[in-house]
Amino acid sequence: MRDTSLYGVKAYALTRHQSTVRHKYLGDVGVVTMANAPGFARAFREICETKIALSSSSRLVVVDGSIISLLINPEPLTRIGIKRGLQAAEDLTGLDVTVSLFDKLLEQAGELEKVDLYYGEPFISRLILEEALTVRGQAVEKTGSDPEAAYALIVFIEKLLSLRLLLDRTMSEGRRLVYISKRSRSKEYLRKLRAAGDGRFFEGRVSGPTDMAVFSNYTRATGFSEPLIVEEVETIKTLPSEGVLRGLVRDYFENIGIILTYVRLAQDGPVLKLEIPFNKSSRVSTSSAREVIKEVMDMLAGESHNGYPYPLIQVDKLVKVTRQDLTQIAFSLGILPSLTGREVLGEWYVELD
Amino acid sequence: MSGMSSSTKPRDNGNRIILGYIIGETSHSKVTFTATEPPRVGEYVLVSYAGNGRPERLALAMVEASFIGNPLLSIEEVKPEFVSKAQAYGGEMVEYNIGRARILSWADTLAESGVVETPTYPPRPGAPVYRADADVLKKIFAREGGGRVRIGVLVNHRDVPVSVDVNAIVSRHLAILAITGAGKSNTVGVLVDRIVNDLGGTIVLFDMHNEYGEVAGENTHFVEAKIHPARLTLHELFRLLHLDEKAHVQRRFLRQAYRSAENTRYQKPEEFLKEIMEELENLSEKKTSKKSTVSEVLEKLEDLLEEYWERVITPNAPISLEEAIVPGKANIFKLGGVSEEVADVVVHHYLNWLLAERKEYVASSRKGEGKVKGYPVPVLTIIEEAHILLPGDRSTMTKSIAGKIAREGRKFGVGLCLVSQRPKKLDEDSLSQTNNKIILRLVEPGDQKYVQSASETLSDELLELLPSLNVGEAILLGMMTPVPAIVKIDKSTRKIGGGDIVVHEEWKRYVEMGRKLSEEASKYIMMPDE
Repeated sequence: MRDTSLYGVKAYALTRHQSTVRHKYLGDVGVVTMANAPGFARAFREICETKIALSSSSRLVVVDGSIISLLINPEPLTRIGIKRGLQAAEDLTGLDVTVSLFDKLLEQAGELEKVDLYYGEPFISRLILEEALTVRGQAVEKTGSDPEAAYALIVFIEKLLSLRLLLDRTMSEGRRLVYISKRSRSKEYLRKLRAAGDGRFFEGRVSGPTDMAVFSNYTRATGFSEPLIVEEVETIKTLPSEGVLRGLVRDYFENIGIILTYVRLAQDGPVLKLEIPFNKSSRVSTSSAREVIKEVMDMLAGESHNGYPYPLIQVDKLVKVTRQDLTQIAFSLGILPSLTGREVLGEWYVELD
Repeated sequence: MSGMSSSTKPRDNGNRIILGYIIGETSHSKVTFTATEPPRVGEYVLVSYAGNGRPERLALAMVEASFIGNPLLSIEEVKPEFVSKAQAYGGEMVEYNIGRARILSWADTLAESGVVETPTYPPRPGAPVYRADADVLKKIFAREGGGRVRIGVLVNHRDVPVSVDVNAIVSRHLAILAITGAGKSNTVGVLVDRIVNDLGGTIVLFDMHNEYGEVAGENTHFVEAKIHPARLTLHELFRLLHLDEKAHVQRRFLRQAYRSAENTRYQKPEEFLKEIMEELENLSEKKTSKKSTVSEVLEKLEDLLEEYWERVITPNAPISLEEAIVPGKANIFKLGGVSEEVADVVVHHYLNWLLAERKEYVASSRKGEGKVKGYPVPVLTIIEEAHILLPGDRSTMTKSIAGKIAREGRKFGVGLCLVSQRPKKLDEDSLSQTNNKIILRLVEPGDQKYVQSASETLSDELLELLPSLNVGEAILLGMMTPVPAIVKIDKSTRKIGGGDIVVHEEWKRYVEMGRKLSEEASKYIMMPDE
């Protein structure tokens, strides 16, 4: 649509304890006018996913996706940059709001735990920005500040802090948190392995195949690849090393490591990328990582169908927001039918694309 | 969200139970709706029409199809393990129910005056669909008086009795169709009993297999399938003598003899056939060149008399119609023992006679003459095994008279009811003349399609329902019922044959009998000394 973008995000948590099954949903529908609309929509989705995972108390929490890409990818700050975001947020709200953001997230996590359908505002960052803009509306105009960049930064921080809560909670309760992706395009694993002097397969080539492609084509059997321990993520290092964000975000994530491995749960089944975050203070070695992976694989195997964890199939089927959904949403919000400028051609409304 | 429990069904402020809401595109005759529980096929629902500032008005609709879907268990999921996993993870949570309903009429006109008035515009998507409760349905289906008799109860609402309009049955005719064992005879029995005993009606039932007992209790009158020779028409004689159209020479001689004998017909009725034979003998003497042809006819006539004289063709047969078909009774013609030709002639004979006398009665009463002639009351005639006497592939005498009754009977108060288990073999013209239909279980697709082509109101969806009807359940269509209804026909309290023989018990009985006999016999056999 012209000037605006419509998004719909939906996160679904499926929890099973023996024969008791619980379903939880968190989602949002809205319109963004920002330039980086896809970035915002993606960040909104990631926040919803993290929060819904946070509301589960399973012994094993499986999240669809990759925690590394969650950390590397600074959405919705991609085109804005962290520096500009920080500056804009400082101007608009001051960075101290992140402290109250964290408090409110904790509060919200408590509410999410209680209900299956959450009808409150899913994003604290939005509340903060609205507050700032209504109270200081005039001032924003005068200083010529950059509300989109400020908003983007606060959303990004909300994403990281939600993730922090999820990591904190699962680790402190001794539960396992595992990220599983089935269509990763990452080449990280083989590149790192090569750097460690182990693999020479793709040396000297600028663009090698993805890790997933290699494991899918060169292996068949059940098992897992040598665990790779990812110690640091670039994006985290660009966060301020002083001030309130240092303690809240940077220091915390610098203390998080990730076990990365590729596994196959069933003969000839699909290859899955497994990422298991851990606290560096627990001193995970390659051999102890193997034990962790085995343990996780054992837990997953019982819940799998054709080598893929069944809950993820169900989640995947039930969270899809289709184009038809969006069109219906647009009609019910009154966005469609809208002026298209093409009425003279008899096109009274445009389908969303 | 958890499913709605039955105690917390959503109700609107009129305390109606909301079954669901209309979705998708609607039309004036069909709606699709999502429902909180699977709608039952054949169930009635009330579709809400509201909006544009108008007060809510309800239309009665019948559920014709019902579906349950689950996006998790789409048809691509072919592995049982997947399904069991989905069940373990509460996959039924996302089940949805879809119903499709056909809009039949505004509910208010139907309930107040029994008038069908179909909406001419569609209801709105999102409008509520209510479950039709017994009070509303009783107003529509259990109307009393006005020549109605009870036939059963609604299949999906056993507390709602259903009555049918007998005036509409007699004036617009009826077909009762079903495979054997689906409850045809019982349906006929219930109808006959109630028409005769509740309304004082007159019925003629042609019973091809002698299966009906005293269907109307003491008001049952069994009629022997006999024809008075003097009342035999020329065409009936042709049929009995197997003189088809190709035998035109033989027919001509018989016609001549018949005409000559006609003069003496009423002076000595019992001698009528003898008279014809004498005339034929005279002819054979005159027409020496065609002597053999005439004697062939004569021979056939002699064969006929040898076979049927006294048994079917007899001067003891009633000479007045009221003697045979007693007004106010269920008159049952037992045709089990006679051949198809004879049955054809007998049925034709009485139907023809009846129609003629009814015409006479209507004409004379219209003139207002002091003494009315003809048969005094309207009659519903029922032809069992109608595919035998009214086949689609050849002409019979019954077919021509039945066609005539179907066309003209309305004006003279002669109704036609065809009963058959092979609708496909039934004459299409006759079948399509029957506006009312009671269709019980029908399995053969050819039969179903044939019935559909002969009835305006049988939709594809109802047609699909036919093979799954239980014994005694029927779809009622036509003017006898305000809207199509799926009915559990009452069980007749009278003795009606036609039930299946319990084969193994019959065998057992025979074996037992044999055993007893031999036991008896063994007493008389000397045992050898020990």
